[in-house]
Order: sequence, then structure tokens, then C-alpha cells
Amino acid sequence: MDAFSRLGLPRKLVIDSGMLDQVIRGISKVAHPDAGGEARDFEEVRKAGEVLKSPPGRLRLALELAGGDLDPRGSVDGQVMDFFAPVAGLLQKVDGFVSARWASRSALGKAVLDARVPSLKTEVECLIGGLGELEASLVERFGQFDESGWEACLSSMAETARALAFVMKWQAQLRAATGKLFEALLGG
Amino acid sequence: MNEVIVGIDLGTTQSAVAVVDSGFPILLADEEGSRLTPSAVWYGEDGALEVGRAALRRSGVEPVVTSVKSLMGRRLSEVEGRLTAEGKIQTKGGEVSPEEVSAEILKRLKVIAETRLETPVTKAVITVPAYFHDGQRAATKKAGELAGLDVVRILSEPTAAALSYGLDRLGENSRVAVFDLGGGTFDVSILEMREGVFEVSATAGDTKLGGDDFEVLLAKKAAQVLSFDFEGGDDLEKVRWLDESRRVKHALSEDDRVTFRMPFTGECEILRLDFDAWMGPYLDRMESCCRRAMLDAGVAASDLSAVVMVGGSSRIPAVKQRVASVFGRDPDLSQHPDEAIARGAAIQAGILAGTVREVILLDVTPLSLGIETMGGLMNVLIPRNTTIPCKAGELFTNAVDGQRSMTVTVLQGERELAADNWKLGSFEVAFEPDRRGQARVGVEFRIDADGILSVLARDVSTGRDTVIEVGSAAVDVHEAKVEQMVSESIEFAFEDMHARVFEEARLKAEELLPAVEIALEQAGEVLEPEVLSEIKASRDGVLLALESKQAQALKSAVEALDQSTETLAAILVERATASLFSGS
Repeated sequence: MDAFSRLGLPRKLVIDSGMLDQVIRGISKVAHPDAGGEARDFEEVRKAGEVLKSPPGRLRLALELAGGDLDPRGSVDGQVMDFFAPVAGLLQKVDGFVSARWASRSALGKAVLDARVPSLKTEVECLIGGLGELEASLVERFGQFDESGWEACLSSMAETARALAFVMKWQAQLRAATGKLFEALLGG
Repeated sequence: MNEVIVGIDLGTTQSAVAVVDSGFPILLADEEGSRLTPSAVWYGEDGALEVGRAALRRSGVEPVVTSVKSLMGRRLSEVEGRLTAEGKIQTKGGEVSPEEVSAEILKRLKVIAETRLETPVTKAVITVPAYFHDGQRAATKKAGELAGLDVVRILSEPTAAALSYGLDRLGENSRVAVFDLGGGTFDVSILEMREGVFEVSATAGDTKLGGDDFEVLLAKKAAQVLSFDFEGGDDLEKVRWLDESRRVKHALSEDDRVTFRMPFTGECEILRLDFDAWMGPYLDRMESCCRRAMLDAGVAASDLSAVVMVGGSSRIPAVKQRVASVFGRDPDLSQHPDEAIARGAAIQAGILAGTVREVILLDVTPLSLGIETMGGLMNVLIPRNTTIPCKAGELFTNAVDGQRSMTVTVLQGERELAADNWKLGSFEVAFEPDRRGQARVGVEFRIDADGILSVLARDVSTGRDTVIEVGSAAVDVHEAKVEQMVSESIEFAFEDMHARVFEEARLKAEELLPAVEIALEQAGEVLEPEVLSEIKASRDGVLLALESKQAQALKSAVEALDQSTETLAAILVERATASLFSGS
């Protein structure tokens, strides 16, 4: 589906998020089943909104529309690969902690584990922050792609899309890790 | 369209029915002029029945069914003895299901509405906690049907409260949090309200946390002081203690000391200071939910323009204080804690009836939906906080040649392991016989605007669509049997009862002993000398008991160590919580 045309937007990678929200809201208002819209239309609008709101989703769509190919096995920036080991290591650490916490049987055992949560949480936030900076620098390239015309930047767009895919996946995993820490604490 | 649709708040403790009249949502009063109906039902012999205040008048003297909401859509394993093996409630008038009890309350509300509006009422919007899973929502819908109502929407309570709050502020654009603490459930939702669109960004909660828990806590503390065995009391005795506990709980919101009185047993003074301290763990859980919701919504407390509090238990001063500290602002108390949700339900009813036009509600599913994989993990198909209605598809293929079908188990929850999540049910995917990997069946999971799941299977080769029944009744019936089987097998695995007791105690000791060392290192210096020596003595007791290999001795020694380290554990948790929740 061409999400750009579905939402009546021009084919530009650089989108103002406030404006995008407003557009989605306006269409949802009419397309929602409660307003008399068709469930299928609402689902399309929801999906189109999801694609355009996410930078890699947007970029992948642009690549597709311009006739390019993502080539998932292609090379990825060294900057991105530098995050690979720290992210994997931290995720494992959190998983280990969470299993131990759930398996814990005594109030003191749980308390001793809980004492580690603040520092774990800080580590996760630090890494998420670093990835956020990297994401921002990758998204900055979008303006260039729009200016030069998508067809002229296919391989650069593909490389950026691959990099963003990793970055977003890791951010999601790290955010989920924070959630897991909360769940383990809440679990009692 | 002139058909009237009412909005109903089916609460744990109280219920209400409301409707939009000339643009204003109003609650409808019963023949005594009361807008709130207690969620209580009394069953007598020969079909005698009373609902509401009339039922409550018999409380403590005869069994009255209360807080039935906490039994709706629950599995037997979740409700510790409140239900029979068939999932029913025992009453003088026979066995009834939770849905049937809720239906009696709904019937009463229906009558109130019909009397006030002087017209038949057949359609309703009914609210549920945002965090209710599929089974709980379906049970609520079923209760409505039993009451003779067409339930046109199941609506989340915090969203309803937001509608009530936002209806007078349609010109403003804002982001708010709604904190809803009721009798049995807690929800927190983050919403954006812009140009008449109410959009839920994220929601979190606990369907087993509410005013009822604080009452039990108070009763137990008072019982301790008055040397009464609360756990061992009979049902009616417990109800009398809980009724007094409720009175004291309410009074503590006004006074800082209240006398707890039980005739023939005694009285004791309860200080608000102490009650606030006992509330600590519950407040921490609520705080965690609030932080989780803000995290999911991608907002900080400073991004919100208000935090709206609703629900009877939101009146408790300790709760208001915690909300103020978590969100960095005084809570908005403009909405009537007991009436806002019914008003919101009426507004949504008005939207569906076409009488309220300027507003549209975009709600979300609160729990991730997924399926169980071969390795016993959960594979998420629809993540939590996805706007509803929504759908997701998955393709299934045959693992072996000629395979006729496979069982798919559907789950809701956030845990990694399938077994730790809530099992919605299972269904069979049928394959056309083919070589492995060749048969293709696409399954579409749809969550409707009620937050309820329906499943559609499409055979890719034949193009045939089949609506799939996700069987949860089957799962439930087997569960009791499975539990029995599992406990029996454990019995047989440990022929020697002593060996089992010793093993359990040993595992706990193995965890506790190193934990004690670490904890003493981190916080030993702030302990009173007597507490410190008690801990050391009980630790040595455990070491001795481990040597002795005596099951009972080890069990008692471990329990003693557990108890002596309670204060130490509390100090560590307080430190961790303080540093975890500061500055974010």
C-alpha cells in the first residue's frame, strides 16, 4: 500500500510529526467505525500511519516506491555495528536478572536483587540514549534523499534503511528490557 | 436515530446507569433518589432475590454476594476457593455463575433507566477496567446479554473518565493521565485529546488491586491487635470485620485516628500514619504502573497538562499524595470519583447513538496478544497499546507430510514464557493433506473495538474463510484436572514426605543465606543491635539445621530467618525504589 497517497501526503521523507499526527487524526475521525466508517478503511489508515510515523518504515516504503531493493544482507555502517556487542550483553544481563527475580522465594532474596535495578536501569537508559543519537544522525540523511531525488540515492537509502532497522530493533528490545525490569519488580 | 443507548458503570463496589440528555450526561436515580447502586446481590430460597442496598442490609447476617467483578472471566486457579469446581458461587438459592450475578445488577440498572426515561432500554455501553483481558471482557458482555441488553460497546473505565473530563474542554488540546483506583481494580491511562479525538496512547494497571485489598489489610491488622484469628473466622464473621474495616477506612480519609470496634471482641485505635505505611507496597505498585504507562506512551510527567483521579479509593489521602509526587502536580479532582465513569459511558453511548457528534474515541488493547511457539515462548502478533480495532495475520504450514491439523494456543500478556501469560484459548488449524511445508493456512487475529478477539482462518490454496471458535471452555474444564494431575505427580515423585519438605526448605535456604550476607554488607550498619544479632542467630540456626538433615527443623529455621530479615529487606527495597524513581 502506498501510505503516502493513502493519507494524502506528498512523497517526501522529511515529515513534520505534528502535522502527520494531525492528518492521521483528521482521517481517523471520519474512518473510525463509530463515525460510520468502514472497518477496513480504518485498518488501512492505522497501518499507513504506523508506516509513516516510523523513520525506517518510511524509508523502506520510499525505497520500494522508487524501485530500489533493501538488500538485507548488504553492508552496515561500522558505527552501528559498534553497538552490537554492548546491546546483546546488556539484554542478556537483564534477562538473567529477570529470571532470577521471578524464581526468588524469599523477601530478602528479592530485596537483594531489587537493589540492582537502579544501576541496570541506568545502563539501559544510557544505551538507549546512544542509539537515539545515532538514529538522529541517520534520519538527518532524509533531507538529502528528498533533495537529490530518491531514484538517485537508492543504494545510500538501502544502507541507511538497514542501519535504521538495527537501531530501531535494539531500541525496542532495550525499552522492552526496562519494561521487564518493572514487571519483575511488580510481580512481587 | 432515536434509539436510546445507556451507559453503565458496572463497578466492583457500586454501579450506576447514565444517559446523555440534551448534550449533558446524567446519572439516573432509583426510586429512593439514589444514583449509585451497590454491586451486591442476595439470594434467598425459592427464587427470592435482592439487589443493591436491600441486599447489603442483610450483610453480616446472611451471605450476600459482593465484589463479583473480581470473579468475572477468571480461571479457577486464580480465585482461591471462592468458586466451586464448576466455577459457580454457592448461595442459599443454589449455585450461580459470576455472569448471572452481574446480570442481576444490570437488570436492576435497566429497570431504573426504563423507569426514569419512560421507554424500554435494550442497548447499553458497559465499562470494564482497561486492563481486563479477553475473558473478562467477554464475561461482561455475556452478563449484559443475560440481563436482556444488547451490549454495543465494552468501554475502558479510564477512557470513560477522560470523556467525562474532556467533554467540557473540547476546545483545548491536551495530554492527560487518568488514575482510576476502584474497589477491586486499578488502571492508569495516558490520553491525548485534540480536536474532539480522544486517543489513548498507553494504559497499564492491575486487575487485582483496589479498595477491597486495603480493607482486608486493615481488618488483619486490627485482628492482630485484638488477638482474633481473622483467617480462621467463618464467612459471616469475616464480612462483619470487613464491614467495620470499610467504615474505618473511609473515616481515615477525614480523621487521622479512628477507633476500630468489633462487638464482643474489643476495640483499638487505628492511626492514619500507620495506615499510610501499610499502604506502601500497594502505592509502589501503582507508581510502577504509572511509570510504565508514561514509558510506553513516550511522555514525561511534565508533558501532561493534568492527572485526573477517579474511583472511590482515589479519595484516600495517601493515594493522592503519591499521585502528586509521581506526576509532579496536584491531581485534578474535578470529576466525581463515583460518577465520572458512568457519565463517560453515557457519552460513548451517545456517540454510538449519533446524538454526540463532536467526539471520537480511539482506544487501545492493553495486553500484547500472541501465540505459543514450539519452544514454549510467546510470539507477539499484536503489541500492547495498539489502537483498536486492529488485526494481524500469521501464516501456518504443516510440519510433517500429511499433517491434518495443528493446535494454536492464543495468549495475552507481556511475559516471555507462554505459560506465564494468560491463556485466552486454543483452536485447531486444519490442513489439506500435502507434503510438509506446502499447506498454507493464513490466520487473521482481530481485536474489535470492545478489545475482544475473533479469529478467521483462510486456506491459501482453496481461498476458503472459516470463523474459528477459540475454545476457552475446554481449557478451563481440563485445568482443574490438570492441576490435580500435576499435584499428584509431585506427590509420587517424592515418596518420602520428609524429603520433599526438606528439599523445599533447602532451596529456600540456598537463596537466603548468600542474600543475607550481601544485604548485611549493604545495609547492616543501620540495623538495631538486637535485630542484627537476631538475624545472625537465625542464620546460624539454618546452618545447623542443614547439617542435621531434619525436614521440620530446617523448615522452621528458614522461616525464622525469613522473618528476622523482614526489616532488612524493607530497607533495601526502599533504597532501590527511592533511587529508581528519582529524577525521571
